[in-house]
Amino acid sequence: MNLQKRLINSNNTRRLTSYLLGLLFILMIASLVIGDVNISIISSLKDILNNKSTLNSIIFEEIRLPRTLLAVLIGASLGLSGAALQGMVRNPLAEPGVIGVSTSAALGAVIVFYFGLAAAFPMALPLGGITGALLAVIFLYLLTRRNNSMLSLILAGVAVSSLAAALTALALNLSPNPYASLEIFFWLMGSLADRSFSHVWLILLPTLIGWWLMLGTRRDLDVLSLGEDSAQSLGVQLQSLNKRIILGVALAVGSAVSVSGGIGFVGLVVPHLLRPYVGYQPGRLLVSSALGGAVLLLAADITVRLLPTQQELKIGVLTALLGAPFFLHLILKSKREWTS
Amino acid sequence: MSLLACNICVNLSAKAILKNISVDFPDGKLVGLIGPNGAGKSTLMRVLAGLQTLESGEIRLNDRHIEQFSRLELAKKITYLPQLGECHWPLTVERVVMLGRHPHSDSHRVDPNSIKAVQQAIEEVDIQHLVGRSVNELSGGERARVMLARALATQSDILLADEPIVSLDPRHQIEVMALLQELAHKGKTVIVVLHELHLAMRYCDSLVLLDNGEKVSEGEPANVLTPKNLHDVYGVDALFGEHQGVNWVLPWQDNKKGKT
Amino acid sequence: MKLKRLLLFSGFFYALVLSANIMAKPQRVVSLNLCADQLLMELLPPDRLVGITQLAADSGASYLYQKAAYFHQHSSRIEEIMALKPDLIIAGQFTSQATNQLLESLGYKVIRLGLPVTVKGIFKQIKFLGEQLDQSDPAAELIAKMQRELNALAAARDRRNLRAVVYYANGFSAGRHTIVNEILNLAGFKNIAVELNIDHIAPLSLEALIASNPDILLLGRLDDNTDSLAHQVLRHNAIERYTALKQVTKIMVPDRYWSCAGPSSLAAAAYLQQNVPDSSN
Repeated sequence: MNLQKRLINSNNTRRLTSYLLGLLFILMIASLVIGDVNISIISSLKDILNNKSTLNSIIFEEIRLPRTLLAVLIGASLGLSGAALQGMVRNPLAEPGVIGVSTSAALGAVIVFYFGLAAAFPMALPLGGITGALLAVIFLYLLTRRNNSMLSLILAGVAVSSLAAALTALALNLSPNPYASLEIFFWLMGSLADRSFSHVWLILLPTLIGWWLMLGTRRDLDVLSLGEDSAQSLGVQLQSLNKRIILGVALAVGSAVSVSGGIGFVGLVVPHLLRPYVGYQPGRLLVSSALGGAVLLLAADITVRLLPTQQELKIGVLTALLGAPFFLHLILKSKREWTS
Repeated sequence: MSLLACNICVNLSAKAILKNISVDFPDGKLVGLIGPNGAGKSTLMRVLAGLQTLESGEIRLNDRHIEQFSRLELAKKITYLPQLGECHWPLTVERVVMLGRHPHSDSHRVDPNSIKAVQQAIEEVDIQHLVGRSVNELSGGERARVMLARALATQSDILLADEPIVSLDPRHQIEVMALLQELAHKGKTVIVVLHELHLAMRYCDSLVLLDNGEKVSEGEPANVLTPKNLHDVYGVDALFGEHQGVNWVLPWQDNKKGKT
Repeated sequence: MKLKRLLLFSGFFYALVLSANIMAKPQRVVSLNLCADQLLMELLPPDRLVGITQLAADSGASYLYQKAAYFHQHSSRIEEIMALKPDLIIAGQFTSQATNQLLESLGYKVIRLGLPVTVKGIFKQIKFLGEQLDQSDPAAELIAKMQRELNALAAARDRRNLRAVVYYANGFSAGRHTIVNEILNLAGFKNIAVELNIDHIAPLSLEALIASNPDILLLGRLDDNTDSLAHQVLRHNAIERYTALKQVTKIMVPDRYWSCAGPSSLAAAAYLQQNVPDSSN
């Protein structure tokens, strides 16, 4: 029967998921193959399997593999967090970068990093990022509870972003290291260049916990489309839903930013592009957006490596070039809602 | 399944919205909640749905305090349809109706019972032709019917509907009221907020009249919708009559104008 | 009358000679640049060099950081510089441009020093400064001392033709036209960055660095406090593993040795010679 088909209709989602997985796989291979030096991946893998340290295996294992894994982890975190935040506040403009969560995470990481805490205790770095992100998400959540309009969300995001960026610049200037003040660009734009496996291990656990928290809200997010009262009367534990997403976003985005800097717009572009393919269901959007985020960030990272710039372009520059027009498009499209 | 409101008091920003309201909602009855704007009808509905913190009083469901039920247990027994059937994302009609099955399903899988319930709800409110369309493209009346179908798909014992027919055309208003009456007579407890006094008179088994947070009158429609109540509470003078053994009422004029 | 005229004339002439003398012999010199600090501290006593930068006392960045304690350090802010009443200001060619221009427009004499990339250039610069400061003798002495150091470096020159590469904060390397290249050659090493066609200071990817197969890896870093992203790359696991695998000689060179071109450059070459094991490879 027609209706049954329409309701089950998981084929579509499954097809989307497998497309994204396939694309992600191809990009991962590309990311491992593309670099400044030509190395044979096969012989690298052979060396690694034989536990032999060679030039090829070191470049593969210590430079390209961690970079690829970080792009996947961080891209997925950004895509997933964007989709989860949008579902929670029911607003397609909610995105960790736009609403200032990334910048706040950068502030937390900067304070920890430049004043020696991270050197004494490595986990302090992601914890600093997570704390910064958490404060920003809680603030913005409280704000949308009072007044859930596009305008107040974006303006509050601008305010939070500017404040966090200014405090980040201040912290960098106060840092004892003379190079620090030049590094604001990294924290605001983000980069995956020359990161290593130690960064992967640092963020792996908080990232996975963040994902688990957010993915656990899949079904409830769908119901939340109907508004908070309807969702509660349909059995949704609103408080626990909000807590899971706030904490999940803080863990995933906070730890991501602490090793990559703030990479903007991934969480905006990816859910927006994928929404039609999951029937606009905010819950079903989560997994697809995580995969899509990983695909987008990995593609962007490969691009900055291929661009013939003297010094590698910061990856956030590319995502902003791509994302800002989307942002504008979304604002113009939802002009009607501005006055609400 | 009976729902009992005992001595309900609700304050919102230091203002008393509901003042010591007690109502017994028996099962198998269509109860209309009426009263002028700001009387406290919607707040009482939220109270009955367990969504409103109370100053004092309690709601009892089958003689058990409502707070003893978990959100999910409650969701299986009571369905609440808020005033503006909003949907923040452009979901398709059948997906919205399917959301009504949320209390019964514990995975993303769609089970045959749910499909049957959704199918039935869609047929009951006569929206088969809307299946496959996005709710955001629909007219206000069409969307209200989709939301009603969503509420019916839960197949709970108690249905709380806040102004479910407000944006409907006359034919669909009559159809929906007839449907709610039929459901009530099959055993469901149906509580509905209405401004359409003629439909309240015609379809409801009993009425509760609220004014300024207080219960003014309660009972059979003809005993509640009296000239005096309409005059005092609504400030209107109405025409009354009878057609084929059924009473009707028609609010006619502002009572102050009537006096001058 | 005639006498009077003569007196007047001779007085005028005397004043002219005196003022020319004062102009030729600056009494209150202020330096605005770390590298100028290094040379001026060699050439001038504290009563004539009335201000150097605060960076000059930083053991990480300044070769003569100990000597800097005998000089007054200013904050590089223009009002403080004016309050020092300088009759000559020595600045860098590329640093604090806005300050330099403002000082010039206020009537101060500002000399801008370039960055020499060879020992010849360093000698030329020292000679030039000696003339400007009317300190030609100390300048000649300094050059002679450096010449003796050069001879010692040549005698101790490493003859194995080892290939070295420099890796700075932020993954930069130094190529053909840099003082670092000159330092490497003085010590007897070949600069890999030149093979890779790097002319000045330019980024070198971590992959290319490792693939260049160096005998010696020179890591530029500050003595302490390396908690910056810029320095993180110098501790990248790929570098650790590669240097362990190929037994690459890894030398940490404090920035003070090669942040400027001057006497420190020869000390840098000596430092490298001392730190390369005799049996490398």
